[in-house]
Amino acid sequence: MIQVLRLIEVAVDRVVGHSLTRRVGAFGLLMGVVPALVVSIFTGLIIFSLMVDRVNANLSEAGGLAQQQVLFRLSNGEQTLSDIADSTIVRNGLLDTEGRSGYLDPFLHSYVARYPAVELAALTDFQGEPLTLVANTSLPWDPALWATARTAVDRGEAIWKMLEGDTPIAVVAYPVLYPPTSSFEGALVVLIDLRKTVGAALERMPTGLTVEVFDLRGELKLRHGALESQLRASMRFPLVLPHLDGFPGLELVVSMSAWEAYKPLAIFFSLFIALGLISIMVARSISQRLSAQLLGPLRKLDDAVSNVGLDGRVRGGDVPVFGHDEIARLATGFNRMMAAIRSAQEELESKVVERTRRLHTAQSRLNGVLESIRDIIYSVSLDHSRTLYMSPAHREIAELRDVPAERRYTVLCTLVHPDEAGRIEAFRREVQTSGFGEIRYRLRKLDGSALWVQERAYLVFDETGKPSHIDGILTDVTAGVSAELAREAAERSLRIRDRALASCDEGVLIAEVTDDRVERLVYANDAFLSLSGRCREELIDKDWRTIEVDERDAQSLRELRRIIRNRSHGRQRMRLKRKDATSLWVEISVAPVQGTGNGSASHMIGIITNVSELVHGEQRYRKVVDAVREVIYQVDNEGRWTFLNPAWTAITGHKVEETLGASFFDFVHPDDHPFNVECFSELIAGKRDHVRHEVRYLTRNGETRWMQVFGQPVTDDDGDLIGFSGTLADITESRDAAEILRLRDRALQASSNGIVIVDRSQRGNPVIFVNSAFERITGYTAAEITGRNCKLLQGRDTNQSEVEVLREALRQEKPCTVTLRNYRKSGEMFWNELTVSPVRDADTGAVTHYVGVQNDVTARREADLRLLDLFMRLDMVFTLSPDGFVSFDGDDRVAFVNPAFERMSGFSSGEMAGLTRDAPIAGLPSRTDRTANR
Amino acid sequence: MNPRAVVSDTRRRLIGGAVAAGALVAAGGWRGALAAEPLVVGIDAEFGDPTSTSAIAIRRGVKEAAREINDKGGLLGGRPLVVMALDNRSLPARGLANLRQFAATPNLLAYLCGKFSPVTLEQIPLVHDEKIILLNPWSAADSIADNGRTPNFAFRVGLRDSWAMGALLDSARDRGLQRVGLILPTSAWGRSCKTAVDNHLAANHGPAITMTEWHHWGDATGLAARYAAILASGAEAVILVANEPEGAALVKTIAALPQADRLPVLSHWGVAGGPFAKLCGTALHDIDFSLVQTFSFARQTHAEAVAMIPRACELFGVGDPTHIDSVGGFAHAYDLVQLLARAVERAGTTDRNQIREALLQPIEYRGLTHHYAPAFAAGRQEALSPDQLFMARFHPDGRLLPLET
Repeated sequence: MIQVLRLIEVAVDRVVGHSLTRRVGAFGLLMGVVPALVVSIFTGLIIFSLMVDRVNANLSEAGGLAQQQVLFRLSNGEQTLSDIADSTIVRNGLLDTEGRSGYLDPFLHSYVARYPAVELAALTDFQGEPLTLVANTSLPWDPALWATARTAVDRGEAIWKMLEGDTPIAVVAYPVLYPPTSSFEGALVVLIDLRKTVGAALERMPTGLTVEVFDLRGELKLRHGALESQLRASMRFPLVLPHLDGFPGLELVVSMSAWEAYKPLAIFFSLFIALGLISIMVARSISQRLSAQLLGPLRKLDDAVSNVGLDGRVRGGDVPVFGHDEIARLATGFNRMMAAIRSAQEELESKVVERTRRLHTAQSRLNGVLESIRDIIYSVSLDHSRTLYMSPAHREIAELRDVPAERRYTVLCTLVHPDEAGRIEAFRREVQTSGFGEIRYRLRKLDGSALWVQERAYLVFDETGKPSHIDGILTDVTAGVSAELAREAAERSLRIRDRALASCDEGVLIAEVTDDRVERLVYANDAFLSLSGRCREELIDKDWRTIEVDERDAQSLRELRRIIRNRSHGRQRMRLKRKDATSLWVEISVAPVQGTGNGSASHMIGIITNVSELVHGEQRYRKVVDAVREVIYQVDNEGRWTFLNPAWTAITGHKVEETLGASFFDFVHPDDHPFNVECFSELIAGKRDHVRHEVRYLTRNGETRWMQVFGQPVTDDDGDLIGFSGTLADITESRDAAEILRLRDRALQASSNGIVIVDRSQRGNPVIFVNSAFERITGYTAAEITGRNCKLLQGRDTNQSEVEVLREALRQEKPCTVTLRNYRKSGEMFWNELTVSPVRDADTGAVTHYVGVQNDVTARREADLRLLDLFMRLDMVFTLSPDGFVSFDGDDRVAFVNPAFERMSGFSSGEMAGLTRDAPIAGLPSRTDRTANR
Repeated sequence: MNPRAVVSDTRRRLIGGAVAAGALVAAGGWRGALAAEPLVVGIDAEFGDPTSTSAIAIRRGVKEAAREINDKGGLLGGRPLVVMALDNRSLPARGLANLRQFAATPNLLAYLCGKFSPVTLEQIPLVHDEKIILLNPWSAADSIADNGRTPNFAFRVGLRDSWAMGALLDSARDRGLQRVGLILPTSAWGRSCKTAVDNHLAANHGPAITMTEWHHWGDATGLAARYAAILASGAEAVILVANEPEGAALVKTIAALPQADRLPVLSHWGVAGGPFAKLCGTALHDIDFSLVQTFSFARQTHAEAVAMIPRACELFGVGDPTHIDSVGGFAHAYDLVQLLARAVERAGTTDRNQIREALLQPIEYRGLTHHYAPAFAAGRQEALSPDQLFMARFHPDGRLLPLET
């Protein structure tokens, strides 16, 4: 129990916090509420159960009544049916087909009429086929009807069946016993509308109740009364006819709307709750008022106490005192205490005010002084971590206003240039040890600019002689330092310049020029001294015109003087006369030096460059160019001649001066213009880096010369094209010569004989040229045979007699003709009638080459052989023939007689040979007689 | 909204059977292959009726005839005759269902109905729709054979209500009973008998009908009231049209009454449809009870009948053929089947139309019941005639003997 109370306490504390008022109020509430709640819950439960019982009782009563009534009616109905089924009328009707309509039908009619609930009555045979039927409804004939009848007959028991769906129609079939056979030979089938049976009973139900009949499957069969909502209180009553096995299970459900049922309860409860809430609120307000009364003075006390602590001042009036209870006494004592404190406070305050005022005055005076000082005066702790004071001058260096005062020195230290860190350390150590230190170092301001400061720091000792803090002054010395550094830098650069000038290869002279035509040399570098061969003393302070120049260059010197007098820029080339009277080509370029202040030149500076090499080089070049037989040219990028050497005149006859400036196209043969243009445009377009072609140029006297043109683009330093330069070579003769050569070459190629040229001067006597006929004959291409010896054609067949003949001729350096067996590339043999001729050098007479002419005489040889063969055959024929043959040659002389003729004539061939046609014939008879007679 | 419009699968079976049967009939050339295919004779009778012996007698008659035919080598080239008996439990509905089954049976030649005219009458339309030959050994309603159909497929060997009622009325007249009361069942049979009575009395002299009482078929209890009413109406006799349960009930009722109140009862042959004597017990001997019959071994004494006696006694398990219950049914059924066999042989086919035609041809046959010469003819589908009816009485030993003795 105590645990519970404690828990409650804790919970309440959490809710109400630390206010006693609220705590008291809460407890009061709790004490009032809890029992009330308990009581009310119990009461509520009791009442609820009573209500429920009441509702159930109502339902039960109504439902029971309904159930009874329904069952009564059903039972009645069932009994009637049963009786009817047993009646003789019905039994008789089973077999009396004709007569049954007479008595059974009226009987059924009267039955149906008497019971409005019966929709249909029929008598069926043993198969369920209706024999007679009376109906007062328009229900459709459901095959279920007759099936039920059949089932009743088969089972021999009454069947009650509710039709499917939510129709409250029951099918009832009673089997009809046929006494003679004691078997069920038919059934009495009846359709009962439960609504009508039962409905009447339900009519008498009290309003507000809904009665529903469900079958065992839960299908609603019948409903009386409407039920709006799903929420209801209901009770179930089974409908059972116990003596009837076939009676379908039905259920009567009586319901009433839950709202209706429990309305009183709801009302009661709401009332109850309302009352409860009201009482709670009343209790709450009473307890609160009580606690307020109780605790009002305490609260005032509390306020006063909290006020005291606010800013050390006591304020507020006295606490009101009510009555004489403990709280009143406490309040009175508190008041007295407060009064005493107040007076003490006032005294103190006035003292403090006075002192503060004096302090402020002193401080403001000090601040005024410090602000005027531009140096930063500071005071820091011994470890430099805490700034004890810093004068306002720090603004110059860095904006430290936003930095807390204590940290200002440290922040300033961060501005120190990183390179100085080490020196700073040393400086600080010195201060610590010796009591004084001085350092100059760089700061880097926030904007990146550098600042030179000089810091002086002193160690300050307190009364006891211990070091207490460090005082110091920071002075901005940037200006002075910068000036110093600048001066040093200037001096250094001057010295460097001086050395540069001195070490320069080119001569440098500086002359001081004033307005009154004083042009006095003030500086000459070593290079000039060596160039001129003079020494410094001879030049310095002397007028520059003492420098001697070669007489040939007087013009240039005059020009130079003019330039100098005008204090302008210029460049001249002249021969300098050295001290040893030799001349040296130099190029002098002069420029004015602006003086400070008025803008006119104070000095002239001259650079003297040794250009003797250059000049000589130019001269040599000139000689070569002029001497060369080829034309050396330059054209600008529009094709105008800008330079031509004398060879131009030699070749074309045009004068150089006349040609320069003219377009070079004017000199090219018109027919070659397009070609020329094409070549040059490719060059211009950058597709080629040079041109080399041959065109015809026109000479002064109208002739055409063939020129080989070579050209390259000329670009300036930026790579821009400024023109072309190149050579023109007169190749007319060589072209003619080449033409003749080509002609001969074609002739060679055209020859149907194979022509081979062998170079004797090379080892192995290689072939250097073969014509196409050779290729055709031998089957070897020029590439295959070139460089190789002709022996290749002999193949392996090198042991020919003709080869020996050839070799001999070659040795004797004589021409010869042989017929060799050569082999084509395919291996085919061909007869080669080869004629070899030596070629001698025109000058030396030595044999340099051999020319071989091939003739494929294979066919001819074969023809010869065939002919020979034929002749041999003919010869054979003549020789062997029994007939005599005489052949005559072209002169009609006997050329040949065969043996047969010899035998016949008796003449031998030797005798006959050479004889004319007539002679032997004339002589024939005698001879033949002779022989015949033998 | 005719409930009969509800299609049942029996109808489907019917159609199927008809198609099958038609196909088989059309393929008549298959006769060779069907050489051994049996021919079927159906019986649709009240086997399920507990007190009925008529169905049994009819079946025995059919089977005996079939046995003899099969022994002689069958029909149509050696085809055996088989019997298909179905129970209609005396209910028309069942009768129709059975008839549909017959229609679906291939090679069915004809069928015999039972004793209940209402059932048979219900079957007449379907008989003609399916063209099944109806051989009626018992059902007495006139309109079974006089059904007005052409072609008429119903043939009867037996009596008609008109003949029976005429015979009863004549018997009453001949016995000098002037006033009679009628007890008729509330069924087609009852109505048919009523019509017959009215027609007969209109055409002939006869006793006066004092009271016509209708009793519910199957309801044995109301008969006492019926009888009492008749008795009260001053009738001298009762003409009873009922089956054996009702008849037995009436007999017992009458026997329980004082002698003075016991009127003689002239009954239609319905009571012979069961073991009437047993059902009545001794009460039967206490009253004057006579019934109309068409056959008795004691009366039909020609050779063929006499020759049947031992066989019949054996079949029925009795010593004396006059002890046989429902003997008329036996004899009629036997004769009908024999006539059928002759017609089938004459037709030479299983086509029922042709068999029907053949039945109407002059067939001479010395049967149990009668010497048929011919049995049927065009327009006359009754094989017997009114002069073949006679009254019979149950003797105390249980024998049913003709009255004239």
